[in-house]
Amino acid sequence: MESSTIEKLNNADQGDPSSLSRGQRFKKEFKKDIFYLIFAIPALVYVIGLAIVPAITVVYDSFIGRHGFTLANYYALPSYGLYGALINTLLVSVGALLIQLFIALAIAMVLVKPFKGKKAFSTLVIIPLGISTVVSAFVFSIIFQAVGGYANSALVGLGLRPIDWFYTNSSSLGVVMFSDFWKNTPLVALILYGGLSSLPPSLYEAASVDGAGSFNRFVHITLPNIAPIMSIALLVRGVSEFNIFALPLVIIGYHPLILNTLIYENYSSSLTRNISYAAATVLLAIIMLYSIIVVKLGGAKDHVR
Amino acid sequence: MNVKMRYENVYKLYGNKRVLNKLDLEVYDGEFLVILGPSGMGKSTLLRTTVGIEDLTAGKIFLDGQDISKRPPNKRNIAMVFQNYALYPNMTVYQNIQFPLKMAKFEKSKIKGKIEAIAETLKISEVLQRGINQLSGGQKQRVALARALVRDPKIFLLDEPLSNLDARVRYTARAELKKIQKELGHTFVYVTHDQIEAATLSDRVAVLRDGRIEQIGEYDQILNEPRSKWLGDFVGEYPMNFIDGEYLNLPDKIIGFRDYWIKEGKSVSGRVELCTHEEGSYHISCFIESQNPEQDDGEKRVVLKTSKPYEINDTVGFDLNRYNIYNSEGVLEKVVK
Amino acid sequence: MSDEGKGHWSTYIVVLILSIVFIYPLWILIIYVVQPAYLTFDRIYPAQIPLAFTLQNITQSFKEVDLVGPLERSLEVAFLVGGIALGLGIPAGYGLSKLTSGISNKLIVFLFIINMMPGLVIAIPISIYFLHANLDNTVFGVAFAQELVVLPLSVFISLSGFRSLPRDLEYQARVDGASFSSTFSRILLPMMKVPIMVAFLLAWMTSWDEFTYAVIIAPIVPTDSTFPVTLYNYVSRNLPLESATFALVATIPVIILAIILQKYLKGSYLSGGLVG
Ligand SMILES: Nc1ncnc2c1ncn2[C@@H]1O[C@H](COP(=O)(O)OP(=O)(O)O)[C@@H](O)[C@H]1O
Ligand SMILES: [Mg+2]
Repeated sequence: MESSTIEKLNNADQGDPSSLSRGQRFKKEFKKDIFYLIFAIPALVYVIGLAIVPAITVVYDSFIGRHGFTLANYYALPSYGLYGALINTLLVSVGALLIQLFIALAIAMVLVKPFKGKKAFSTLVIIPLGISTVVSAFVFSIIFQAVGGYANSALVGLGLRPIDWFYTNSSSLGVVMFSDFWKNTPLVALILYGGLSSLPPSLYEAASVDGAGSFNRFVHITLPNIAPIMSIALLVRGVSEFNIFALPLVIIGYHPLILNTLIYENYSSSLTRNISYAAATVLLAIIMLYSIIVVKLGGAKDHVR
Repeated sequence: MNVKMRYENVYKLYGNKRVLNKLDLEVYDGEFLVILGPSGMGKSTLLRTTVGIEDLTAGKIFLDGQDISKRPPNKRNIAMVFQNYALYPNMTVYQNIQFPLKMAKFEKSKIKGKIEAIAETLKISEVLQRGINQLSGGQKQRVALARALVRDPKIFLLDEPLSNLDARVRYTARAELKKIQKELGHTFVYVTHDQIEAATLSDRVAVLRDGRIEQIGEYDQILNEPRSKWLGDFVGEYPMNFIDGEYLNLPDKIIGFRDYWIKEGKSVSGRVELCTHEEGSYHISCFIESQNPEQDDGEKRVVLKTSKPYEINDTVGFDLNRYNIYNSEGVLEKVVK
Repeated sequence: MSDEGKGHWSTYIVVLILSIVFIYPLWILIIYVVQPAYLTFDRIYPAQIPLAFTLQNITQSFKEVDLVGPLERSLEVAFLVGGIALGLGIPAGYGLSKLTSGISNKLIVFLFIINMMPGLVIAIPISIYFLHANLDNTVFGVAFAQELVVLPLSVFISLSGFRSLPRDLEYQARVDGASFSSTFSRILLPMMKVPIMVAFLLAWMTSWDEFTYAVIIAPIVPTDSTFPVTLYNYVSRNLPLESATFALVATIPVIILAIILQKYLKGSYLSGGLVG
C-alpha cells in the first residue's frame, strides 16, 4: 500500500492531485466542513458559554476558601448530610426509574393492540405531560398530607387506618417517587410505544405459529427487540431522575435531603455557598461519569438518525 | 463539430479512492452523448462534478470555452435530471417546472406560456395542478425533464433517467427523449449502464472505466472495434469471444470476434454445451479445443450465432470471416474484415 | 382464541386502573378549586367527589394575589425559549447533517453530554453572570438560561429532520439556479415544517414547566418570576386555595394544547431524536 502511493507520487502526471501537498489536499477536503460548521457554531458557542464555562467556575470555586485553595469545603460536606443525600437521591432515582419503566412498558403494550377506547386512553396518558412539575408536586402534597388529605380519606373510606406519609424518610421518599412516576411515565411510555409499534407484526405472527404463548412471546420477542430503545429511555430518564429538584422541594422540602435540595439549601445562604459548590461538583462528577460510561458503551451517536 | 464542453485532466478522489482519474472528454454541440459504464464506475460522480454539487479534486471543465469548474452550481447554467427525479414534494407540478424560471428571474408575464408550451411538448398538460405524489413513474420522469428543459440551459445532464420506469414505459420514453433532443437541438450528456439505451439514443458513446474514458465513438464502432478486451467483454448483447491467436497462426496474439461474425465451416470446431432459440436464429455456447492447453485448462468457451439448432454434445465447426487482433496486453492491434 | 379473549380482559383492567391513576390528581385539583374551603382545606378527610360548587376561590384568588403577571411572564419566556431554540437549533441541525460524520458524531456526543449536565449546578454561576449583565430577574435572563435545557434537543430534532430529507432535492435546487439561501428557505425549510413545529412545541412546553433555572435566575419575588416559581412561592407561604386556583388556571390550557398536538408528541422526538 505504502510503496504504491509513493510510486504514484513519483510518476504523477501534471495536475495529478497526489502532487498536491498534504496541506493543500487537507484544505480542499475540509473547506466544505468549515462552511457547514459555521451553521453549528452559534449553538455550540451558546452551550459552551452558558454550560461549560459555568460548570468550570463551580468546580473552581468549590476548591476556594477564605485563604485560597482548600479542600475544606469537601471535608465539611458529610456534616451537611452529603451521604444521606446521596443515598436518598440514588434510592429515588432507581426506584422511580424502575416503576416508570415497568408501568410504561405495560401502557405501551396495551397501546399497540387495538381495543375499544384506545384513543381516549392514549389521550389520558398524555395529561401528565401537560401538567408542570410544580403543579403536580403541589397536587400530590394535597393528596398526601401528614394528617388527613385525600389519600388518607380514601384509606379511611376503605376501613383502613390513616398513615402519616411524612413520618419516616422512606415513606417521604416513596411519595416523591410516586409523584415522579406519575409525571414522567407518559414520556417513557411514548418512547417505548414508538419502539414497539415499529416492530414488524410478522415477528409476532411467526412466533404464534411456532406455538409461543403470550408470556414466551414477551420474553423472547418483545423484550429483546425493544431492549435498545429501553436502554435509551433508561439513559435519558436516569440522568433526569438524578437531577430531580422541584418535586422533592415542594413535597418534602429539606427532610430528608437529596443532592439538589442540599445544594439549593446551602446556596441560599452566603455563609455556606462554597459548601453548595462542593456538593454541586460532586453531583456534576457523578453525572459526567455516568454519561461518559453511557457514551462509551456505544450510546448516543449511533442513535440520532 | 463545435466543442460545447471539455473536461481536461479531471480528478475526483474520495479519500484515496480515485473515482475520476485524469479524465479527458469533449462533448460536441448538439450531440446526444451517452456515458456508458458498469455501476460504481463514477458516472454519477462525473455529472455531479460537472454540475458543481461536488468539487473536483483537480482539473478543469470548460463550457463554451469558459472554465466553470470553480463556479457554484447555480452559476453554471447546466440542467440536470437526477436518477430519482428529485421533484420538490411540497410543490405542484406547475410550481416544480416554474422553480428554475423564478430563480432565473424570468419575465413574469411569460412564465405561464412557457410552462404550458413545455407541458404540451411532454404531454403533461393534464397534470400541471397535481401534487407530486399523484403522478405515475412515467409522469414524474416527464415533469423532471420539463423542469430541466424549461429554462434553456447550455447543456443537459441526465443520470439514468429511465432506470426507474417499467419496461413498457421505458420503451416509449426512450423514443420520445431522442425526438425531443433532436427537435430542440440541445446538447445531452446521458449516463446509463444500459446497452440498449446507449445503442438507441446515442450519437456517440463514451465508455467509462476506472475513472477514464476507455473509448469514445459511435456505438457500432465501439461494438465492432473495441479498443480493449475489457470493452469487448462489456459492450454488446453477448460478450465478444476471445480465443488464442494460434488458431489462425498468430502466435502471441488474441483473436476477438462477435458471435455473429462466423459462418459454419471447418477451421475451428467445438462441443456444444447449450443451445437457445431466438427469433429465427440460434445461440450456442460451446467449448473449443485449446491450442494452448496449459493456459486454458484445455478448453475455451465461445458463443456463436447459428442458423440451425444443435443438440448438446454435437460438434460444431465454423470459419471466421471477420475478427479483431489484440496483443497480449489486450489492446486492439488490427481489424480484419 | 382463548388467548385473545384473556388479552382483552386483562387489557381493560390495566387500562381502567391506569386511567384512574392518571386522571386522579387532575380531578383532585379541580374539586379542590370548585368547592368551598370547609369541604376541602378545612376538612381532615375530604370527600373524593364534589359536594358543593363555588367559583369564589377563583374570583378571590385573582383579587388577592398576582396570577396574571407570572403567567404573562411565563408565556413571554416560553415563546422566547422556543424562538431561540429554532433560531440556533435549526441551522445547527443543518450544519451537523452535512458535516463529515467523524466531526458531527463528536459534536453530537458533546451536545448529548451538555443535555445531561445538572441544571442547578450550571444555574448558580449563570445567575452571577446575569447579575453583572443586569439580566437577573428578567424574562430574557430566565429564557437564556432555560434555553440550555432545550437547545441540544432542538438540534437533535432538527438534525434528524434534515437527515430524513432526500439529499438530491437540495442539489436539484442549486442546479435549478437557486442560491444557497433561497435553497434553504424555499426548498429545505418548507419540508422541515413538522420537525420545526415539534422542536418549538417541546421547547415551549419545557420552558412552561421549567423550575430549576427560573428559581435561581429570577428568585422568589412574585412580581418577577415565572409561573412555576410563583406557584412554589404561594405554596410555601401556605396559600393552598390561591395555589390551587393558580395551578388549575395555568394547567388547563396547556393540557388542551398537549391533547390537540398529541400527534407531534412522539417517542422519537421526546427522547431528543435519540430513537429512530
Ligand atoms: N460521497 C462519497 N463518498 C465516498 N465515496 C463515494 C461517494 N460518492 C460516490 N462514491 C464512490 O464512488 C464510486 C462511483 O460512484 P458513482 O459515481 O455513484 O457510480 P455510478 O453512478 O457509476 O454507479 C463508487 O464506488 C462510490 O462508492
Ligand atoms: Mg449512478
